[in-house]
Amino acid sequence: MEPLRQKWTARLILLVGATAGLAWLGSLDLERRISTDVLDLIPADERSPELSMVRNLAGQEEARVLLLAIRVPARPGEDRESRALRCDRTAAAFSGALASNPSIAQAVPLSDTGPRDALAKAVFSGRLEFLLPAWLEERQLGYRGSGAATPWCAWLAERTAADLEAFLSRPEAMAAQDLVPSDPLLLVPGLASRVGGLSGPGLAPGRSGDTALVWARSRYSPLAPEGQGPVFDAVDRALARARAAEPGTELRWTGIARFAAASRSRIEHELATLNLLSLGLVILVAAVCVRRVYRAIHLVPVVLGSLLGAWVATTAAWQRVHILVFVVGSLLAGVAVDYGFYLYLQPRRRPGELYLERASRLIRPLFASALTTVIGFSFLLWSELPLIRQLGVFVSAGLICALAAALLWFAQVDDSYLETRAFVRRRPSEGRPGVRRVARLILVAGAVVAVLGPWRLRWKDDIRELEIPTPQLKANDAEVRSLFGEAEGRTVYLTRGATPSEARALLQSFLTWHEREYPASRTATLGYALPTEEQWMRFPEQMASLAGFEGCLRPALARHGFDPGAFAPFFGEWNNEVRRKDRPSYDQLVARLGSSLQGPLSFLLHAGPGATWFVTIAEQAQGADPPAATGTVTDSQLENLNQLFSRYRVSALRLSSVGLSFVGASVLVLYGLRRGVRIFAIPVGACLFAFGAFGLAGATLNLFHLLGAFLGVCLSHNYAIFSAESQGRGEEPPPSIRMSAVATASSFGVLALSRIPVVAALGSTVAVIVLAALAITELAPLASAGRPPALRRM
Amino acid sequence: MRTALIAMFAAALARSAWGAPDPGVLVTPGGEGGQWKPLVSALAAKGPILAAFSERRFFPFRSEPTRLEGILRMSPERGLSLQYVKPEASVMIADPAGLVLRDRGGRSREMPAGSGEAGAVASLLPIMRFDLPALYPKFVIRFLVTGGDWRFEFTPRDPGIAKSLGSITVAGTGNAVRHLEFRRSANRRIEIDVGETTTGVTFTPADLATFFR
Repeated sequence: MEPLRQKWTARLILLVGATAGLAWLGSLDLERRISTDVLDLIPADERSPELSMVRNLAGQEEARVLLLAIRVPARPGEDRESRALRCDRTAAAFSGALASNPSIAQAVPLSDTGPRDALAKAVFSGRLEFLLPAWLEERQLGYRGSGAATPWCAWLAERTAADLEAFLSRPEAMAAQDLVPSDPLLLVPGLASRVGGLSGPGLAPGRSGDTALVWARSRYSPLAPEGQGPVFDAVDRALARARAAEPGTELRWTGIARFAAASRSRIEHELATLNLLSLGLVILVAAVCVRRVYRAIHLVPVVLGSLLGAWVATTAAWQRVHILVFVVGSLLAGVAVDYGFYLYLQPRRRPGELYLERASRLIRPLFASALTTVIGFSFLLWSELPLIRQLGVFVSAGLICALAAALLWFAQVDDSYLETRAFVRRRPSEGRPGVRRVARLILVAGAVVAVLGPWRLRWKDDIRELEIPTPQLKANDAEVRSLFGEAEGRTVYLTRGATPSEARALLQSFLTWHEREYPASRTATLGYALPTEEQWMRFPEQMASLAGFEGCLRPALARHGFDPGAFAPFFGEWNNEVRRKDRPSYDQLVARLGSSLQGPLSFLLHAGPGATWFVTIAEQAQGADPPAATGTVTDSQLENLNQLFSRYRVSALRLSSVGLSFVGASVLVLYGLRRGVRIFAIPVGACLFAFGAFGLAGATLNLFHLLGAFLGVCLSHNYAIFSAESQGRGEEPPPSIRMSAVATASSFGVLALSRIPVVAALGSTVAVIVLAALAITELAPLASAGRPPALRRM
Repeated sequence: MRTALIAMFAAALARSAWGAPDPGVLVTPGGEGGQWKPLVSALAAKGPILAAFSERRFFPFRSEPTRLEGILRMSPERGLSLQYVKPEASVMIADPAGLVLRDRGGRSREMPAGSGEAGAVASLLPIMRFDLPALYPKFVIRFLVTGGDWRFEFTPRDPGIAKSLGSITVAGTGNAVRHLEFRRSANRRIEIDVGETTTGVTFTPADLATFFR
């Protein structure tokens, strides 16, 4: 019978701890605190500027876009044109219904020329501000380069008239003829020719084949719940309205919200399934291995206490925690139960031996294994990757809580000893030569794998492995995007600056780089519709120097066969601009152009507080990345993030190595050089064997295999410690080692079944290492020929 | 006095009626007024053709038209290609996918079918193919014969398009197209004179790559 004071003290501490933990979790808005956003895996202060930029851009407006393609069934005998008109009408009705929903900020059928007309109108009416400064500077460079003796004004007039005459023989002249009397400088036709490539991303045609296209933007982030469910409802309702008018209407659509929702629901499903399966397997292992199965229930509080402590510590340390931490953290069930096994299965030396006496024999290996593991995982706190830092805290806190929960729980129960079944304790006879030979053979084979296999390993990090693959959604996405004109052989660049001036200057340096790098590839950007700030500052002076331009241009036009009187609208506007005193600031100029952008065009230029960006489309397949000094990245975020993860793997490898060194050093300090080396050789050997086996199997490993290996080494060195402690006392290794290893391997084996590739990677790595460590622990004594230790049977 | 005025008015009406151009017959899917039918069949069956052409563009702000010269290629499968050689080399291709403008350096600019940018030139393809079923929904078509000469006039049914494009006229002699005209107004028009036409041409792979999409 345990002392009452001990029991009630333990109960009180457990009760207070559990109540405080549950109260803390209950006070949190877990929906907001737990993130499924893949961008939360990247540090907010990522040091690489281009990656930081990708993170910012991806999190902003662009992510809210929905692309929708509407198709109506053909009627018998109906020609293509009539069907297309019906399709356009249905798309307009669908778009109207979608736009009226509060979760949708904007919905525009692409057949609606409104956004393009609004931009064209804004550019045309402001052409002297937007386009003339750069036009003048370009001509002035030509004038200086020509070495002409004629005055600047006369030279410019002659060049303008000659250019206009040449333009009239081009195909686009007939379409632009109504503009020419107001724009003989050809500012607007020149811009139209340069930004022609912008018609590619679904901005020009409202239709693709027999499909009408609708562009929409959700009001809320697609990564938040309000940007998912309500948006899907809005799309369903709009489709119902469209079908009421046009039965059989088909809709294909895509948006980040669909991927995010699928990912969220599958991860939540995995979280529940894996945790339950893991817990179930641990209980099953206990049920199979112990005599009075129902008493295995005493292991559950240890596991629950561990998970509670891990959740509390992690949510207390971070405002937002990625859900993967909890998915991967479900492995704690398999690890935490270890301490329960060690304490619960530790036999009494004599009948009536008190819990404190029994536990005191285990306290050294328990603390040694727990603290060395915690020290190892604590090094992950120095990782750059938030996920790894969070995982480090989750596991460390979970292990400490598991140890505390185990010590306290068994202190307050009357019978804290659970007897294992005989087969768990059964061992082959060590003296028999056959057994020794087989044990040696297996160890040698394992050593060969451990030495040769790792050289065949291949490493590759792919951020897509963090998500559950959704091939159907991806195929649908590619199909819809191709309808919107997104094609291969084209690269989209994003140039970003803190201010409009900086962004435009960076765009200029990017365009210079691009022209040098890809001389045959054309670029299209709305940045062409804006001068640089320097050009804008010099503009008043330029105009003052051309006060008499009308007098120069009229005779030049007449010489080239034009009627100068037809250009009266232009001369009126030119003279007004020459006399103008109150020009807007550069920021106002950029904001004016930005405010004219509607619908899909709004993504060509963003001018907001703290950030301005320009989109540039280049007619070439993706190649060399622009230099960081241009403030430009391609929109292939995937590649950038993959590079990022590769870099983090190297960082994690470094930290793991340091952590393992400390684990090893701790063991050496606690157990001395000789015993310490023998203890540490077991997890290291198991780890090398696992990597060797993966290498020989041709597996490609990633960051999460590395993390799994670190965890596996920390776990398996527990078995080495307990085995060495028993050996030191002249006892057989306790049965808890076997049960613990099997339970851990089972719970990690469950993770290996996950459809999230990185979770599966982590699970399979730990399971193999743990089983290998158990095998070494079991086989090493059998293989030690002629030196059987004097064992006391338990 | 009143009688005299009525007589003068009647005389004026008669004179204006006498001087008004003959609008020709309305071409309809039913095919009434039939003279155009065998002609359309013969023109549509011509297959690939190649012809020199000269073009005059009239602008309201210019006293003289802008003159261009080039070579016209028509492939029933690939579309219509206008290769300009003077004053500036360029190629314009009208095909079912839209319009392609190719400059001297070989750089292309594409305008999808149905886009406003493709404009009047995109209409040339079905017209040069004499694909009347495709043209009926978009154009009112009239046909006129004067001696050995004939003329088709295509007026867009959509008033907005009619205002921006004007009418298109295709005129010829015998089985040959000789003249094309895009006319918004007297000083906003394009006239194309088609020279000697070679029919049954076989375009080489190089021609197809250079002058078609």
